[in-house]
Amino acid sequence: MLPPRLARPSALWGWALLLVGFALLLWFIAAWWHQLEPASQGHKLLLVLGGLLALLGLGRVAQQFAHTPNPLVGFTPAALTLLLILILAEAWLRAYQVPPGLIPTPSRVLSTLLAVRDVLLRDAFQTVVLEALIGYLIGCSLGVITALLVSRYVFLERGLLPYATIFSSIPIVALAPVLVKMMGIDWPSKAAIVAITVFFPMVVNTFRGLTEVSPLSLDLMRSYAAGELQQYRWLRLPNALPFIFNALKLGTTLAMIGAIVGEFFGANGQGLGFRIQIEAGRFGFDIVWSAIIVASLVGIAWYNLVAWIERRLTGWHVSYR
Amino acid sequence: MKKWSVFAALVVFALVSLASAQQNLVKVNLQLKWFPQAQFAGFFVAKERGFYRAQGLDVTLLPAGDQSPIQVVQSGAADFGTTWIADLLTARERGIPVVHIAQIFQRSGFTLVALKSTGIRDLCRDLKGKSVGVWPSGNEYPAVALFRKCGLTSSLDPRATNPDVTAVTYPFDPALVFPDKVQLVSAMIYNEVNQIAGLGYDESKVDVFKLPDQGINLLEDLIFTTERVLNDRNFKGSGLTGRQVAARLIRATLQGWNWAVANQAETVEKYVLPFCGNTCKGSGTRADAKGHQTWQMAEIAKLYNAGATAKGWAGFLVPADYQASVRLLREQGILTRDPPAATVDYGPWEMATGKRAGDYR
Repeated sequence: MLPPRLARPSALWGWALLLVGFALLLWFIAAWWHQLEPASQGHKLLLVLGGLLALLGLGRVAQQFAHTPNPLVGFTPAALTLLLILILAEAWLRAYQVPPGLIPTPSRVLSTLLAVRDVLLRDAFQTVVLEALIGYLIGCSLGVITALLVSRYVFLERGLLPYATIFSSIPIVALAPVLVKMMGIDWPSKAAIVAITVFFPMVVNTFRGLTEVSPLSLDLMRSYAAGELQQYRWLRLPNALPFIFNALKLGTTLAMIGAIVGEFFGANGQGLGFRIQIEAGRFGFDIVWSAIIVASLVGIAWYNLVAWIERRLTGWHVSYR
Repeated sequence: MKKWSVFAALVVFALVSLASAQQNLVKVNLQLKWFPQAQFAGFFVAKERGFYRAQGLDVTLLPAGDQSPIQVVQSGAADFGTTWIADLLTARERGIPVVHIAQIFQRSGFTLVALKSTGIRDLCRDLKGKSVGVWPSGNEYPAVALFRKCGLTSSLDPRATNPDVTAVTYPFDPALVFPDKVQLVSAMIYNEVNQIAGLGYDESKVDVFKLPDQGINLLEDLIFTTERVLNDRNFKGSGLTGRQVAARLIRATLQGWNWAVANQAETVEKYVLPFCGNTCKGSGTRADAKGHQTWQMAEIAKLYNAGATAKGWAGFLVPADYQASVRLLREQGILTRDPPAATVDYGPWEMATGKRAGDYR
């Protein structure tokens, strides 16, 4: 049953258009499931029509969700958009008979994803847990420790920090072939790439958080006769938390990129990057896309986990109040 | 000022196009399977001794990186390419309309090398649980065919959760993984075998397993193009059809190869070494480029001067050899169905040599 608010005429029209559009596209896909010939001009025109109808319908439907408080219900238009894009891609790839060795259809990717999920999960364990996560933990903790030292000792700030700033803005991933050659093809070389990639942004961000403290707060700490340790514990570290979490969130993306790209330069027979490289070379793009989906899902989950911890720990911060 | 520079540019442009129109050469890009080395000696000879020019072609030989030549030719960045049969047939099965037009090497040069001390005597019996170094980008198929033939799964198979053989990928230089990370490493009989020897593992210390001896005789360096190029009525506006260009390319290339294997020392000196930098070097004690390429040229000549070539049918894809490669790939599940007849086109080769494919005995 539709909620009563959705039963207004314009919304009903939207749903109707959307349904007709989807029905047209799905009918074509079903009719073309076993065809080996490209579709005729008339069929392609029908696809354009179906796509336009669905798009118009989607526009009307989306307006109904503008003020939905429930985030899950509010996600409906975005989910419908994704569904529309997938169905359109499926229909067009079939209409033009694009070879699967170039672009596989979404349905082919999904069925491949199911068929090879065990191997992809094993690949993901190697890439995500052994390479990205270990490298991330090492790089981030070293980054925080370095930032603590740099903020405490002026000679480090003068001598070291400029390099951290420079290094955090160059693509460290370019080091990947060098590190793989130096440390071998097993997972530690990729963990090292990840650690170095996440290290520098962490140093720079944490340092800013530790030092960009309100002078008034510092004065207050001094008037309480707070020692250096207490200053760090009660003022500098809490102040740095939002900065640290920024670097942590940025690091999740960098870690996945570093681990996957690192595997392109040599791998011990498993890993998402290894799978992507080997299958791209043999035109198995359905598996390549499956591996990309797995990598994306892991990346999104990881980022959101860090964001969730951030909200728990820095709920006092102005951006969450 | 500005007007004049525009005018000058136009004049230069007109002169250049006039000059190229007078020569009337058809521009052709040919994608090699690897970096310049004696493996492609015939192509370099055909270009530098003017065999292509005599056929009205201006051929650019593109060196390869780790990208599959099929991807380059399919995208149109090159018109022709060289690759191996398994790579070609799997691409064809996945809907990429590539066509085999000439077979350069009549024998496979793929080997697996192991230290004698590892105790590997019989490949099939001793492979299980071993790590094997393989090259990606379609160069792994001979090894995959061997694993399957021995009834073993490998980590190259996306459906094997607990593979018998671990396939290790690395950036082509065997020194990166052999002998520390892998017990067996892929080695072409004309290149890496000598590199490994240069690293201190010569024939007294290693066993070289030739894959043809194991029943894996997959055809290697061949010339291919796409249906789009072959069916082009007016190749790049030259007035020639795609087939005519293909035939001229094959004629000049075979001429180049015949010259190269007959004059190996001169070929290496004049037509290989000037065109390759670091990639022509061997390794360790056999690093010298001239020595390595001279040795490579001799090995390559053996692969070229075999089978059909020895009978005076250079560049001919022997139907029985082709069927054997297809059958092997089918049996090992690398191909799921027979490739369509259009995968091999003897037309350009027949046009180039004046022979008829049906006459081969």
